[in-house]
Amino acid sequence: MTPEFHRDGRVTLSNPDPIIEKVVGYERFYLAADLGQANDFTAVCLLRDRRIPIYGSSTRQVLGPRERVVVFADRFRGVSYVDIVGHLLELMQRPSVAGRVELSIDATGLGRVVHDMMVEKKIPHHAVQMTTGQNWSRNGQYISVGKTLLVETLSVMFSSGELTFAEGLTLRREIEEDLASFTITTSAAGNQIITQSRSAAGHGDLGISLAIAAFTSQHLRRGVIGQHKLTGYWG
Amino acid sequence: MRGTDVPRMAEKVERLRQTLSPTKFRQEVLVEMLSDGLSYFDLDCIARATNPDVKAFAL
Repeated sequence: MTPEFHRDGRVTLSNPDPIIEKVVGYERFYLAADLGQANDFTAVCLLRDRRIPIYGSSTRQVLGPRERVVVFADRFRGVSYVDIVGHLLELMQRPSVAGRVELSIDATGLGRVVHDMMVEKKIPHHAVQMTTGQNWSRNGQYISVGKTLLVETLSVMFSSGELTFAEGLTLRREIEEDLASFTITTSAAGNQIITQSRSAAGHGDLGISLAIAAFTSQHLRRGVIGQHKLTGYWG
Repeated sequence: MRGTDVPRMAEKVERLRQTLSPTKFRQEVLVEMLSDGLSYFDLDCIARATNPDVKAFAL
């Protein structure tokens, strides 16, 4: 049986048999933008996050494994912030993602201006500010995230196999070059910190936008209210 | 002593392997002294991370 993808992001597996217990999966998208200044690139990444109902060992449906895939990446420069906001809004309204996408922007530094423009235009989004430290917190309109946590979250997703790239993704090589620019450095106090250097591909813009999308999907995603049988729990 | 050398820690080590980044795992569990300039990401793992079942979007 083929899963049915609803426009509100629900994914169901229909079965006329009333004895079959059904669960509702989801398909969501996370669009993230790292905003460039002057000659820097503005980078955009789109992540698809999906869990689809499958049949378990008995007559019950269960949620399949969570799968996150980078399905789109883009970057541009020399574009005004007004046009960037318009472009992001346009991307969110594309039929393949409309109604199921959450936008996050890097609101550090000049990104605050774009955040203010979006608030004025009533565009729902997460305004992520990168800070030092290893935690994250909500700070009024902003979400303060330690850069170490941001990078660590992305790294864990790749190493656990939960995050992959779609086949034929444009800028895949540039993203990998960006990620390679994150290195370990020992501070004067003797602490090991993550630093980022300018990569051959640019200034790490794509890597940061991907990290923000991954962080949003992991920590800021909307909760699901529902009732299911608890399985796989012990201890 | 490395975490992987302690049998009673095996379950915990496997859990940490799933929840820590490869670099953090090498530092915290394998007790490796990592030198400056080392890439934070496991680049081989990222190079392999292609999902052939999903085609990139053309938005």
